Amino acid sequence: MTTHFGVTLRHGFWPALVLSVLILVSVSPTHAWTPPVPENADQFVCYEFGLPDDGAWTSPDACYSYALGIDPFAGEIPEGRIAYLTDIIVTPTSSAAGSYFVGVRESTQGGSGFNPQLFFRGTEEGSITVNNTAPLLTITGARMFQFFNATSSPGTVRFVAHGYIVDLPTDNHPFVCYEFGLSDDGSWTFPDACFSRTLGIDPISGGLADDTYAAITDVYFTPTSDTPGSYYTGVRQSTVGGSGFNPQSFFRTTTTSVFTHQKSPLLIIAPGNRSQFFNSTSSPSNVRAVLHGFIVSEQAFRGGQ
Amino acid sequence: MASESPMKNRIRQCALGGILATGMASASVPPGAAQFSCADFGMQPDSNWSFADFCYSYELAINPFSGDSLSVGHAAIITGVEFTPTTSAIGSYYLGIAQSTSGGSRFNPQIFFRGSDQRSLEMNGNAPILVINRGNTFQVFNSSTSPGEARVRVHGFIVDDLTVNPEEFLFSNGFE
Repeated sequence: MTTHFGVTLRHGFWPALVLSVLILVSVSPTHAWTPPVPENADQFVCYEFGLPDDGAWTSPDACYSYALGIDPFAGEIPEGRIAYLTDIIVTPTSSAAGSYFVGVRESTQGGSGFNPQLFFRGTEEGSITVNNTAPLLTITGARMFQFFNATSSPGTVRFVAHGYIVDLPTDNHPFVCYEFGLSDDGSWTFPDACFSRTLGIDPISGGLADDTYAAITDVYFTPTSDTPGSYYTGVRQSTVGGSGFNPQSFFRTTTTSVFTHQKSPLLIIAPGNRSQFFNSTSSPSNVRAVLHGFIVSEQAFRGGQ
Repeated sequence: MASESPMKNRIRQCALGGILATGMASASVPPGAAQFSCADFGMQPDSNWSFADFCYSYELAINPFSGDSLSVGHAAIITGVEFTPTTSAIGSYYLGIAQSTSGGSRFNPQIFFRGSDQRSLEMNGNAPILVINRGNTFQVFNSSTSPGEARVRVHGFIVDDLTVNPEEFLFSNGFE
């Protein structure tokens, strides 16, 4: 009597071989984590016709959802739903060249802002586009968002922001981690803060819970000043004690923001671990660092959603 | 009309999903996909095609390009590639990626990227950038004309073909 893949052969070789192949197929990946498709997504768009370089946070001139036939931010976003802001296009209205420093943040309708404030830097007079896989901002209730154009920018810009009103997720909770100003000291540094709006907690700074993974899909670094030079930055998984894992991902830019947006996760953070950012001593100044992704249950990560 | 293979259908779904989901926090990959990523810690500017230093799938806990670690009917799709010069040397970086056998024989298309200074280069596809057949792997390239060394990260998914019929597989491979 022979065994093959743990199967006792009682009726010959070929049935066992067929069964072995069936076993191989059955243990193959059939359902695992991919970027989630939001439930009942209704598009919206918001825009600003011309935001002066005055350093004032300003609400959009108009917002509209063709899918819903309303301005979704005119009142409260319905209970059980949430706005995912995923894309931004910023375009200088003139050919004035220089270092445009622009931003977006969540706010109350009265104009009080919340962290993280997300900033982006461009050079010359080109548009800045941000197309995130995970939401840039998640907005619930009576809140909305604001745009920003620094006094150091060389001129006025237009903004367009796109996103979706979706049902609150039951898994795949968007989260964000950010660093207000990462020194160019060559040390790996924990984010200043992390938060998931839909979970209502910082899910990662104390180490991910035993039954969860983090799929990081978007990372970007923005020089805090227009100091020219070669910025060399990075991100990695680490233990809560600060020991890092390979692969460490590095990015190089000049004085523009450097973005990466991946559908297959840039990094996976395993249970018990967290993340760190890096800014090389060869960089000419500090950078802001932001990462976005999803907190995923072990079941969704390995066993289907 | 000839029926389309399940794998082709999966890849087409992937491309179509990307088009439909443009700009959305959503999938452009089949629901049965499993992530993987690879890294090369430093490619010399020597025009030699080389294998990645590191590949791993957390979801499957395997290196999908190690021998026949992928089971029958599976393939890898590469959806994103990032190249980053390891130094600030400025110039025209010429970098590439291509499917290859484990022995190093490459297939077309070989995909090349060129940068004009020292900034990272990123490519994101809605449709797969490359499809790697089971048993094959990929290689990366940094031209001797590049001004310096470059790191590379490769991201993608393992996609499956759930309609593999073991009996058909056995017979098509000469078993009776």
